[in-house]
Amino acid sequence: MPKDSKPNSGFKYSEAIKELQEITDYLESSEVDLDEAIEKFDRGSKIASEIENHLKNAENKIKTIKSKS
Amino acid sequence: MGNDAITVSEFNSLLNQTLTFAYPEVVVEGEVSSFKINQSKWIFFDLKDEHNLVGCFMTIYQLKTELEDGMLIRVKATPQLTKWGKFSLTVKEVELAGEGSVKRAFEMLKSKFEKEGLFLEDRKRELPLYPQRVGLVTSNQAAAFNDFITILEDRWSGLDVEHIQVQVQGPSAPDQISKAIEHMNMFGSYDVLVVIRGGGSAEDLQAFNSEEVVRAIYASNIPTLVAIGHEDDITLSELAADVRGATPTDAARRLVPDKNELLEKIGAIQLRNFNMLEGISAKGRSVLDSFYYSIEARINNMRHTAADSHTRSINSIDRHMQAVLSVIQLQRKLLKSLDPSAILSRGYSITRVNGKVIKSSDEYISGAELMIQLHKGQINIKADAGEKDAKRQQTELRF
Repeated sequence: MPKDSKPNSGFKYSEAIKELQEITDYLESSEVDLDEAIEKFDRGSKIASEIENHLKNAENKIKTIKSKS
Repeated sequence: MGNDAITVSEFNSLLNQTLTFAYPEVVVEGEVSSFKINQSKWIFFDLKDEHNLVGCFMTIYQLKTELEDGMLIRVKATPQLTKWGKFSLTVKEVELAGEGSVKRAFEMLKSKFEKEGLFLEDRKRELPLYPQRVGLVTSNQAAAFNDFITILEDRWSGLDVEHIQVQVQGPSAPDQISKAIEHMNMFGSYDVLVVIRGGGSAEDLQAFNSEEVVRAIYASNIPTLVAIGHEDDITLSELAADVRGATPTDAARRLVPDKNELLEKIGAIQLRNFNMLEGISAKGRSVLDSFYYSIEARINNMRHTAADSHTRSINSIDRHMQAVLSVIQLQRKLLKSLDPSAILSRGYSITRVNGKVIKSSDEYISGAELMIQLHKGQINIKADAGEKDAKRQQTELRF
């Protein structure tokens, strides 16, 4: 995920949520390595807080373009 | 009558100038009759009321709605006398008048689009779950716009909404709306294209039943979300859209998820992940525990084995030592029994000649000194050769 998280530009909810889901799927799978699980859990926590941060702080931008006709 | 007569052409031209001056544009309402299309481009029909009738002419490109006999319409037109001397209205715009006409035109167009497959379910696309860029076509003068934006604000964050301002009713609305949709498809990179309008009469919503708007929505490469009027108003634009919103507010709800719900969901996911991690760690601990248990069990086992072995060794050494001791004692007894001094004590004696023990009288050398060792002390004696045999006999007797 790009570090530059200017609201509305860099952050992609769909990608963040997809990655979070993948982490959950990994942790739920039977073949899990403890070290990797800890690493993935940390990554998941980071993504979750990024999503939370954007949901709470990012603004909706509304721009009006005048019709040409 | 003098020479001031004018030609027919001059007359028609004069009359047309007068008409144009007096009626540059008229709006006439009437019922359509004798509707026909010539060469797929010229349209002729009559407008009539209970008592009168006027002919109308227009090109097919100017007609934005379905027409048939019996419909009540309003035309914006210019009165004109043709070169054949026939009076008619040259029509620029047609507007359906009255619910009946609107319904009829709607049914005609709907049936046409259905035949073309514009409303087929299997061509409808899903909207992205988390859209980022949204193209919005509506009028910001209406409540629908504010409702839509307010709901978006409540539900989601970080959207880029680009809005094209259009008229949502009236004669220029279909053209503006369809051009805005085309513009967004050509120049924008949107995840979803939203077309909304608040409630109104059937006539007010007419633009969204126009062929050009419906076709623009159908042709959109961007997935479309259309919500026109109230829940009961179903326009052809909505039928052609990928997703229909019952109202503009409903469209906003369909466009974005609820952030509070997502926050809860993410919290639940994190909790679940944590529990899974705990489970994995506990599993790891239990593997470690069983490893330690098994090691401990082995060590104990070895300890017991070693102790047993130790005991066995000691016992074996003990037994060995006992055996050795008994052998030693036996040998000691044997040695003791073999001790010559012990035999002497029982009355035996040892006779030596020149220090050598003699066991037979044959070994006696005549004249040699005999040294007789007794239990206590010794005797040295000399014997002569003549008495050898007698002495030998005596010796034998003594022994």
